[in-house]
Amino acid sequence: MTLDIYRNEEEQVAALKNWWAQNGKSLIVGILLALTLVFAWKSWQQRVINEKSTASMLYQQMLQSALAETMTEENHSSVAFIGNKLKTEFENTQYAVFASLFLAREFVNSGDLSAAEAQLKWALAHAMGTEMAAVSTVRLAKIVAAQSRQDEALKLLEHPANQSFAAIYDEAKGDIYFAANDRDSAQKAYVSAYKESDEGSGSRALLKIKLADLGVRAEDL
Amino acid sequence: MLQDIRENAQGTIAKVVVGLIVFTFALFGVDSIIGGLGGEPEVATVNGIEIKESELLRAVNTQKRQVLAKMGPNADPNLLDEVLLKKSVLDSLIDQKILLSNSEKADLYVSDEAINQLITSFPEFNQNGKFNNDALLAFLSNTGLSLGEFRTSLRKEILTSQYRNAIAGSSFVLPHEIDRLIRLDGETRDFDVTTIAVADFMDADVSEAEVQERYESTKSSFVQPDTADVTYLEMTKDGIMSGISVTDEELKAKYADFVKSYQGKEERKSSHILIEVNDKMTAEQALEKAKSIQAEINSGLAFDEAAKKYSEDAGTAKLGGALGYITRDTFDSDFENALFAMQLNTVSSPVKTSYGYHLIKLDDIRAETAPSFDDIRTSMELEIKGAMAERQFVALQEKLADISYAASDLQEPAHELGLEIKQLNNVAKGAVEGDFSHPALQRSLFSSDVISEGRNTDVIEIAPDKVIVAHVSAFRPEHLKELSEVKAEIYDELKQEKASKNAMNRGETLLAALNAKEDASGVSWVKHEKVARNFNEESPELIAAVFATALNTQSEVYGTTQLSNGDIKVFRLTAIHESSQDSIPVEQKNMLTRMLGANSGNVDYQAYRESIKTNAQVERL
Repeated sequence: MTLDIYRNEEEQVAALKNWWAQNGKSLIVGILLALTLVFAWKSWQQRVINEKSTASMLYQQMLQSALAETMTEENHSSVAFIGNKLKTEFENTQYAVFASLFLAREFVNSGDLSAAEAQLKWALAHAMGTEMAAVSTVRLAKIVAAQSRQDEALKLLEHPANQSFAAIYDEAKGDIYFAANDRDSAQKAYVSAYKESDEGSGSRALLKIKLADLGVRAEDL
Repeated sequence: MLQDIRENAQGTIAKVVVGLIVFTFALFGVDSIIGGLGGEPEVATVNGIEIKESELLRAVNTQKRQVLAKMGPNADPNLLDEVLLKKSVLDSLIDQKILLSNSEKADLYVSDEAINQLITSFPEFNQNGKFNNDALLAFLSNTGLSLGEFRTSLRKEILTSQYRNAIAGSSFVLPHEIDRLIRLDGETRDFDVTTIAVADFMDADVSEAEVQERYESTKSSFVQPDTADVTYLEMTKDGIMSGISVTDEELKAKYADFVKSYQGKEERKSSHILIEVNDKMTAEQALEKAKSIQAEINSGLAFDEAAKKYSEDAGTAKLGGALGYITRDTFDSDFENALFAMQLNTVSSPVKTSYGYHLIKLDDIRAETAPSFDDIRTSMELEIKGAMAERQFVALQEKLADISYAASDLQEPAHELGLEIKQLNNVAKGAVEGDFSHPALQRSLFSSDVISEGRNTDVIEIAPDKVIVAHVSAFRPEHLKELSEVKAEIYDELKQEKASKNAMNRGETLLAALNAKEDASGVSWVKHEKVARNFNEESPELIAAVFATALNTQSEVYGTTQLSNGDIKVFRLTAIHESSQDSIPVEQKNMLTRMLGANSGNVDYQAYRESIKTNAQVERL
């Protein structure tokens, strides 16, 4: 749009008018389109934030019920209600995964292992990151094994989803072998778990007792 | 310059640039441009989130304050290793950022309203069920945080804890796991044990050559740090106090003050009649009215009747003007001066206060009587001496510092202040016990001023009521101890090692003999029955070994273990008694379930932390 080539003002004005007649409409349409896009983008962002914010508040409320010192009937039903709401209405947030972990805990405590299993499978399928996957897998394996499907449980634990969870996987394997009366495999798994766990880890005290029960002194490892 | 810009701005490229800037402004605000340029220096980035230098410094300062507070009132800020502190604070900041960034990656979110709700729900900021903004402001000024920073820290805490609770809070324990734990925990065992005492093997021979060899191979552990023989002066508040005498006159004056302070505690019960001075009633009119009421009372009208009839203090008039008991400094001072000067059961002349004129009747006097002089003589004496000593201590401390700084040894300061010169030999650098372990004294004592130039140390406050100044009379620099100095020590050590090894050999021989069913009638066994894991009559090493021995199908199994003192225990496990899960009450079982669940949740969370730490992109700048 270099205007220098026009000799006087009238020519310049005429050229401008001409240019406007040709491009004016598309310019206005373009600007309107751009503005619409910007507004749509902003309002979509706002919607996402609103959704996350509501899910977050629901989760906080659920925690209050779930982590109470003593769980009353009301606590249990509120965890179930909020948990299911998070899972159905906020399915795409991690809060839904968190909720299903708590729902699994609730089902285990009320003795419904197959319902707990379904929750953990859901968590595993929707978990973001290998850590959450590892947490869900170990818990799932424990519940599967408790329903007398040891082979399926051990298969779940075959390869740790995350190396930091290796000790936890091995201890769970040991527990499954032990419950199935396979003391040699249990001992092998516990020994690995002991070696993989950190000095100050909370699992060591228990591992020591489990090893001693199988005739192994942890101090000798 | 503006001209330059104007001219350059004519160019097409310039127009495009300006257009872009305008566009960016319009869409994303000023931050997008300002934020990207310059700003504060950063010390690290974690997954792309920066840690600013100012953030680190603030955290370091907070940490410093906490450490010093823990060290008590005599803490010396110079003792803190800044570099180390900074490193550990940065490490923990990085840890926090890693957790936070993982929560953000998972799209966790806390809205501003949620944070507001949280703040207003803190019990600390609530009074009588209502949010108290002043309490919040007081908290902020105490912690040195701005409201924005406080909100940010809460936001981080919530985001981090949402993840933590999801992992650690949702863990569970299956019934068979808890039964197994109860069984293991309640299990008891029968065993017999015999001891091979290491003391019986202390006759082992240790040769000169062995001692020499050990000395050569572990030389570095025989370094003697700098040591000094010191003379020193010690000045204590108690010492000063014992030199102070208090005269009877001083004590009596103190007692008089004391009694006076008791009078202040006197309470007087009164009634009053108020005639207000206001728009309708001038001071003169009010005074006249008060006087006429006083006359009526003098001629027989009961005070309470008069109060009901005339008093303009609506609150008390109905009660006959009764005000109840008051102490000094609660009411109008003119009113109190009059009241506390009155005789019991008299009525005052009109008393002027800011409200108007009062007629006051003194109904009762209630007072505590002060303890007698003899009762509190000793405590007063101590109090006076303490206060004097306190003042003198500060002054004498300065005097001591002045004189000992100028003097070349302790003779003159000792003489001037009447202190005794004491002696202490072999004060080591890095000593951990006694007054001379005080870090500031250590630093001053082993400084080159004191060691090489023979000056006195600074006057160091060891405790709030004790100072020390020292002088070095002999100094021995750090050196390797001669073999002759440590020979005995090495000899004992080697002997102990040999004895321990011989005891172990004897134990293994015995074990082999027992396993081979050889005759072991000479062994004396101590019998234990139904011993639990927490049995404390035998050492924990032995109990651990007994419980880590499997009986399988045999009737007895032998084992051995060495205790930390070198003694050998050989044991014979004869029975394992299982416990049933019914053996413990339901509450205890529930508690165990909760504990075990919490433990397993924490283990999961530890693994989570470790994992995201390993995978984090951390860059220290």
